Amino acid sequence: MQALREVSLAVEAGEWLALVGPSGCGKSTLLNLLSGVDQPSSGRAEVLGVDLARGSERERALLRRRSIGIIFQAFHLVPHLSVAENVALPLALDRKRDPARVQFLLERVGLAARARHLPSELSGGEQQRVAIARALVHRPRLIVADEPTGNLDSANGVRVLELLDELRREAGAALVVATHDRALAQRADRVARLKDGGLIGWGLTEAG
Amino acid sequence: MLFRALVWAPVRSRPWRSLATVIGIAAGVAAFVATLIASRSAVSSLRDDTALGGELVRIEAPGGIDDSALALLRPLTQGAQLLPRMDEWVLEQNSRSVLRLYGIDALLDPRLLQGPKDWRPTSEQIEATWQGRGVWVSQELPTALTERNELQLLVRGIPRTVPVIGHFPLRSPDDPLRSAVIGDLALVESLFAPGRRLDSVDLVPRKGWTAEQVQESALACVPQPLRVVSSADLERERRAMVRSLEFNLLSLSGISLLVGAVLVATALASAVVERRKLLALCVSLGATRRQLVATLLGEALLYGSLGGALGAIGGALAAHALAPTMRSSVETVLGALPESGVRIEAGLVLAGVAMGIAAALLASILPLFEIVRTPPLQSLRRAQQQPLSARARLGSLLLAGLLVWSALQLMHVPSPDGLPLSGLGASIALLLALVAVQGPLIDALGRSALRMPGLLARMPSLRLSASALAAGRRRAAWASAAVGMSVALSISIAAMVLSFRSSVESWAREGLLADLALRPVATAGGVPLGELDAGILAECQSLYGPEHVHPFHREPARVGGRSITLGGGDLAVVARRGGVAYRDGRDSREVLQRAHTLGRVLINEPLATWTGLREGDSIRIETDAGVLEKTIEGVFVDYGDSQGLVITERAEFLRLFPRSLPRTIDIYLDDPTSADAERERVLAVLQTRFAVEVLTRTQLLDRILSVFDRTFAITRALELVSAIVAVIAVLTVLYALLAERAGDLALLWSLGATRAELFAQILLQAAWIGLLGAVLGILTGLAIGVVLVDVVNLQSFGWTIRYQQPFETCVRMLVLVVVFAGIAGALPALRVLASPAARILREEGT
Amino acid sequence: MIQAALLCVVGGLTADWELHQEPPELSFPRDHGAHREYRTEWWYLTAELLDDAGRRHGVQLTIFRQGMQPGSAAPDEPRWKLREAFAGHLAVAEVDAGRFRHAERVRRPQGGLAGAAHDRLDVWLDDWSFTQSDDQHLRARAHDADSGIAIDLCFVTAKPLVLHGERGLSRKGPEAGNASAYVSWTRLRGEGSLTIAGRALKVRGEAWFDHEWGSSQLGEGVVGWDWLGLRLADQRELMVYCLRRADGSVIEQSGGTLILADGSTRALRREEILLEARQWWQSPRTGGKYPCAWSLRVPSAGIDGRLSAQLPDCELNTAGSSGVIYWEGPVTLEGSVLGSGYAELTGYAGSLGGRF
Repeated sequence: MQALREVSLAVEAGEWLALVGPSGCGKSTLLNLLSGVDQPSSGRAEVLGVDLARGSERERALLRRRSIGIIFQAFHLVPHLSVAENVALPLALDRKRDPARVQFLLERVGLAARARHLPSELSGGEQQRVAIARALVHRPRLIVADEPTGNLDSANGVRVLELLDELRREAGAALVVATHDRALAQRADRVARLKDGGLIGWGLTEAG
Repeated sequence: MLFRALVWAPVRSRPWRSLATVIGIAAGVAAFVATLIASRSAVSSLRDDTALGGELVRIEAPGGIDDSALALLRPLTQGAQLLPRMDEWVLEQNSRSVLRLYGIDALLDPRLLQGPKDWRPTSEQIEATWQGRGVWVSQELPTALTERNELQLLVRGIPRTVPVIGHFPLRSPDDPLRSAVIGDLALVESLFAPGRRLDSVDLVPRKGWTAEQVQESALACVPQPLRVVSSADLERERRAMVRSLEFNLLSLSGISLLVGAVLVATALASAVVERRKLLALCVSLGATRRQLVATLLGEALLYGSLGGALGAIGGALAAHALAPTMRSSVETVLGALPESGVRIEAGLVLAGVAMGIAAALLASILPLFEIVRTPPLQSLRRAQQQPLSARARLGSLLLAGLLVWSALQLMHVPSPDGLPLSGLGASIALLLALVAVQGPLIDALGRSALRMPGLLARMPSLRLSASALAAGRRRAAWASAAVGMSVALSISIAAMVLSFRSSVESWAREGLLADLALRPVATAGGVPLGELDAGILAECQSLYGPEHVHPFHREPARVGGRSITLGGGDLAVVARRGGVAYRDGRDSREVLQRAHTLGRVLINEPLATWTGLREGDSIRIETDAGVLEKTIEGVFVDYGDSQGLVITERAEFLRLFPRSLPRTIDIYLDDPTSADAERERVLAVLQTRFAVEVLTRTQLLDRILSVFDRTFAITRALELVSAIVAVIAVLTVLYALLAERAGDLALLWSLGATRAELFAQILLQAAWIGLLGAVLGILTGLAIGVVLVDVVNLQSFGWTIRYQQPFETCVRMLVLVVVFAGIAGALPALRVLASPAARILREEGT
Repeated sequence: MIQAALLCVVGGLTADWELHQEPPELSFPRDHGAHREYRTEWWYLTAELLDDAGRRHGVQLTIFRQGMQPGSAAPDEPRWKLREAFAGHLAVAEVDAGRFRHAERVRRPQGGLAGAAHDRLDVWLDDWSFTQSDDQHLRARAHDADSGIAIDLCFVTAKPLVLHGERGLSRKGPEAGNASAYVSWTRLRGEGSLTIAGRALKVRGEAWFDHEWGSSQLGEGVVGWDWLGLRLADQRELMVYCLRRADGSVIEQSGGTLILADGSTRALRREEILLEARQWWQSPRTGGKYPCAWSLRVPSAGIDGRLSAQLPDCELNTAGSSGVIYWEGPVTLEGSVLGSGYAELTGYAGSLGGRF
C-alpha cells in the first residue's frame, strides 16, 4: 500500500509550510521523505541539492546532520544525555563543538539553568523546547516538525510554536510542519492539504 | 496456550540465542557430572572386593601378616570363608602401565573366574593355576601386552616374564579387576622374594552371618598388631584419599554451574524486556500475575531441563575423556594408580538434570520480580531507567564491602581436615561481591560519561555507548557479572598453578641436592612405582661406598590415629650437602646433623599442619613392629606428600622393618660435575640384572616441573571458556538492551548518525560489558588466587605456597574477553540496524 | 567357587610316591596320623544317630589329604606352594524327614588352617576336625553355615581297631602297588549334638571310622566301587567293597572283611560276596542311576538278606572340592540277620578311573 501516491511539492527557502489532513493521509510520510528518513520508491525528491532518491545512506545522514533539523511529537530526547548534551547532539555527530552556541540556544528557549539536568527531570513543554534548541543548533536550512504540539496542552503549545517561529526566522530556515491543528496551520505562510496519500489542494477550507 | 505464545514461540524464533543459554547451563552441569564420575573412577581401581559379592571384612597389618597368625583365625572359619591374599602394584614393562598383582589361594578364592554363566576355565587351566605355572589377566588388558602369552612385569626393579594362562571377563565397566594380574600365592611369592608375607586375609561372611558379626568375632580373636577393617571402612579410607581433590574439583564445577545460572538469569531478564509489549497486552487482556509468573518459570524450566539433560549426558561422555586426566592428578597426590573403567550411574545423570533445573529456577528469582510489575499496555511507557539512587549505590557498595570483609574473616576460620570449606566460602563471598558491585560500576560509567561534556563531540560513539549501557544497567550487570565470574575463575586457577609451580621449583632447586637419583621405573603417567631390590643398593654401595649413598625407605604408620608414612634415611649422608628447606629457616645441614646426633626425627609440613606438632615436641609413631617415641628436631617443607611424613634414622627404621626395601636411592658424588658420566656408569652396571631409572639432578627437576606444564594446559582451556562465556553473555543481553533502547538509536539515526557510527556504538557497548567484566573479574580472580594459595592449599594439602601474580594471563584474558565481547555485539547490531527507524520512532512515541 | 576338580589332578607321577607292596608296619597311635609319603589319604566317619524324639539321622564327615608334590620342599621354594591339599565332606541324611544336606571344604595347609599330625589322630580343615583324646575317645566336629548343619560328636571305641586285607594291606588291583593301607574302628558308640537349620538336637548312636592311605589304588578299567560298612545285630560287623568295571562286573581284587563278635577278623574273597542291585534310583540333578536296594548274600558268614537305602537321595556333588559325584547314605539289612550301616556308591555318575 502506498502511503503517498503522487505529490508534487516545492518548499521555498525561509518559508513556513503547513501540511494538513486527516490521519493516514501521508503527512508523516511526506515529512520523512523531506528529511531523508525514507526514500521515495519512484519520482524525485531533491532537498538542498541532494537527490534523496539516489543518494546513498551516508549522503542522506550527512544531510540530516548538517542541514535539516527534526522535531518530533514525542520529543524524543536521549534520556541518558543531559539537556545540554541533547542540544549539542547534531553538532557532536558531525565532530563539532560549539558550547557557546549551545548555551545561546538554551538561553533562548529559557532552559539555561537546566543545562546539566536529565530529560526525565523536565516537563513536557520544557522537553519540547529542548528539542527545538536541538533542531536549530547546527544552523539547518530546513526544519521538519511532525505534530510538534500534539503532546502539549494549548498554552504550552502556543508558546512552543511562537518560539519555534521566532527562532527559525532568526536563522532563516524553512519550516515544514505537519499538523491537524487549524490554529497552528493558520499561522503558516502556506498550507497544503493532503488526503489519502495525495495533495488535494492549497489553503485552509471551511472544513479545514 | 499462554505458554506457547509467551514462551515457546519467542524461544523458537531465536533458536541460536536460546541454544546459547541452554549450553550455558549444560556446560556447568557437564563439568559437575564429569568430575564426579571421573574422580570415582580414578579411585575405583583401589577396590578389589566386588568379586566377593558385597561385604567383606579384611584383616591386615602393615608389614604383612605373619603365617603363624593364621592359625589363630581358625575359629573365624565358622562364620566366614577365609581367603589369604597378596597384593602389590607392579609395572608392565613395555607400556609402563600399572597392574595390580594378586596372589590368591587358587583352590578356593572366588575372586578369580567368577564370570558370566557361560564362561568356564578349562580343567587344564585350573590345574596350571594351582601349580603356579602362570597368571590370569582381564580380557580388557590390551592384547599387545600379552604377546606370546607372556606378561613382562617389573617387580622391584627386576624384570620378570610370567606366562599367561587365560583371560577372565569383567563383571562391570568399572570392575577394579580390569588391571589385575591374578595368580596362585606361591607364584606371586616367588616373583618377589621367597618369604613374602601375606598382605591380608579376607573374610567373606557365610550364610546367616552379617559382616558386622564377622567383624565382631574377628576383633575378639585377632591379636595386635593385626587390624580388622570392614568394606565400609575400606570405602571410607578410599574416599578420604581423594576427598580433598574431589572437593576442590567439585567446587570448581559448582562455580561453573553458578556462571551458567547467571547466564540463564541474563536470558530470562532479557526475555522479559523483549516481550514487554506482549506481556503488557496480556495484562490488558486480563492475564493474572500468577499466569505471568508461570510463563517465566516455564521458560526457566525449559532452559533448566534441556540444559540439565544435555549437561548430564555431555558430562557422562566427557567423563570418559576426563578420567585419564583425573587419574593422573590423583596419582600425583596418592602415587601410581592402575587403569580403571568408568561407570555411569543413572542416579548421577538424573542428579545432573535436577541441578540444571535448580540453577535455572534460582536464576529466575530476580526476573520474576520484574515480570510481576508489568503494567497493562495502556500504561506502558517507554522504559525510563533511573540512574542508581545514592541510597541504592551505597547499599550495593556496603553489601560488597560486607562480602569482602566476610571473605577475609573466613580465610582465618579453621576447616575440617582436608576440606577447604572456609576457603570455598571466602571465594564464593568474593564472587558475590563481584556481582553486587556490577550495578554501581555501570552506573558510575554512565555518570562519569555525563561529567565529560567534551567527550560527546570528540568521541560520540564512545560517549553514547557508555550512557546507553548505563541506561540498561540492570540487565547489563548480569552479563558483565557472568563474564566477571568466569574470568575470575580462570585467573584464580592460573594464579594458583603459577604460584604452586614457582614454589615447587624453588623448593626443588634448593633442596634436591643429590647428584644422582635412582628411582623405580615410572608409570606411563610419570609416577615411580614400587621398591628397589636389595641387590641394587648393594651395587651402589660397592661402587661409591655407603657414605655417599642414601637409601630411603617408607612404610605406613600412624600418628594420633591418622595414617601417615614413616620414612627411614641416612641423615648423616644427606647432612653433608644439605636437603630441603625447614620451616623455621635453619640451615638444613644443621638440622639434619642434630637429628642424626641426638636421635631425633623430622616431620613434614602437612603433618605439622594436621596435628599442630612443632619443633621440639615429642611425637608418638605407631607401627606394627612397635611404637616409636621421639622428639621432633625440625619441620621441613615438602610438596611430595600431603598426608604426613616422619623421617627417622635408617638404622632405627630397619630395626622396626627389617625386611623393608628402599624406595629411592640418592647418590652424592665427590665431584658433582661428573654426574652425567657417573650416570652412564651406574646404568651400565645395573642394567644387566635390573631395570631402574637413574636421573641426574637436572633431569629430576625437569621431570617434577613437567607435571605442572601439563596442568597449565588446562588453564589455557579455561581461558577459552571465559571468552566463550563472554560471547554468550553479550549475545543474550545485548538484544534486550538494544530492544529497550531502539528508540534512541532511531533518534540518533534521524539526527544524522550513519549506520556505521551506530554500529560502532553498539560494538562498544558490547565491549564495555566485556571490559567491566574482565577488569573486575581479574581483580576478583587475583584475590581468589590469594585465597586458593594461602587458604585452600593449606587446608587441602597442608602446604604453604608463595603467591605469584599471573600477569601474562591477566593481560591475555583482558584482551581476549574484550575483543570477543565486542565481536559478539556485531550480530545483534546488524539485526537491530536493519529495522527502519521511522517505524520505531512512531511506535515508541505512542 | 572355583569349579575345581581337586582329584582330577594327578599330583605327580605315581612312581614318585610310595606304594604299598607289602603289608605295612603299623603302630598306633602313630599311624592314626598322616602318611605324607603316600599320595591320597582320608579319615572317614559314618554314623547312625537318633535324636531325643526318636528321629533317625545319618551323618558322614570325611577329611581328605591329597598330595600334589612328592618329596620335601626345596630350600628356595615358595612356602605357599601347593604341595598338598585338604578337602572335606560333611553330609547329614534326615531319614525321617527325607532330606539330605551336604557341605564341602578345601584348603591348603599353609598357615595352619588345615593339617594332620604325624603321630596321632589330629586332623583339621578350617573348623572341621577329628581328634583323639586317648586311645578310646574319638571326637568329630564340623560346622557349616551355608548348608546349616553342624556336628559335635564324641565316640568311644566299642571294638578294637581292625586291619583289613593282609594285616592292613588292602589290594585294589592286579598290579603290585594297586593297594592301600586300610584300618577301621567298626563299632563306635557315642553321643553329642547335631544341628540342622539352626536347631540343635541331642543325638546318640553308633558309628564306623575308616582311615585309608595309598598312592595308586585302582587298577585299569575300574570305574567305581560299592562299599558297605554294616554293624550286625549279633555284634559282628561286615565290610564289603566291590570294584566295578564299566560293564558292571566286579574285579577279582574285590572283597571284604568279617569282624567277629570277639574282635577277630576274617578276610573275605570276591567269590564269597554276592551283592546284586535290585532297585535303582536316578538323580534328577546329575542323571546318575544308583542302586537303592540289593540282595546281599555272604553264605560263608551266614548272611542272606535284603539291603535297602534308608533315604534314596544321598548324592554328594563335590565339584567344589574333590570333584567327584557319589552316593553315601545309611542302609538297613533285613533277612537272616539284621543290621545297619552305611553304603558308598561311586562311579555311577562319571568314572573315577585314574583318580585313585
